[in-house]
Amino acid sequence: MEKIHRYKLILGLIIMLAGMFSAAFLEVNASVSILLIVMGMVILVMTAFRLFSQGDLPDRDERTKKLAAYGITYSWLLTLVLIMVLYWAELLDLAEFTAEATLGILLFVMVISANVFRWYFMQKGDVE
Amino acid sequence: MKTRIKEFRARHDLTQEALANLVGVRRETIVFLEKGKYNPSLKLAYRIARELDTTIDELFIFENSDLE
Repeated sequence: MEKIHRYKLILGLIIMLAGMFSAAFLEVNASVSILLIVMGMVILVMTAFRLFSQGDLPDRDERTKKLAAYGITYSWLLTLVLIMVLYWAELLDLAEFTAEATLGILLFVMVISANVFRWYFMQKGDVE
Repeated sequence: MKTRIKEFRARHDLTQEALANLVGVRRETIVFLEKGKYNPSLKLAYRIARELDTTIDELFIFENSDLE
């Protein structure tokens, strides 16, 4: 087992246990505990799936690294457009956003769009 | 871009997975290379050519439209 897989499994386990611990012993919002447990489980399951489906083959190579980089680039551009839209919407009093809401929107859009773009390029084979 | 990877791989009796293992990439990368959908780096092209006992010129065929 590669080191990176071992670290990911440990990280997933720690996050999941932290979620369970917070739910049982700490007075925190229940959604935080659920989020931690789900995040931990997703990391654990995805790492285990990659580990068993790929066998000895690397899970990253020059193509996947290139496509991941392009995915992040496109995601960054999309986020820039979104920031402009939010800025003008706020400036023209079309909508009001709190700092918390704005950060939340940007966080989710960046993470989700980067993965969507990467998935799209993976299906295509290359970016050209 | 067209490639003759499949032809040379068959001559060496190698599966896509075996070739992927030899050159250190994922099997999907070999699939997309064979379909001509992925342009490999010079390093990967050289590695594949070396494993298949041939040259990059023999393995990858570029047409004028690919170079524009």
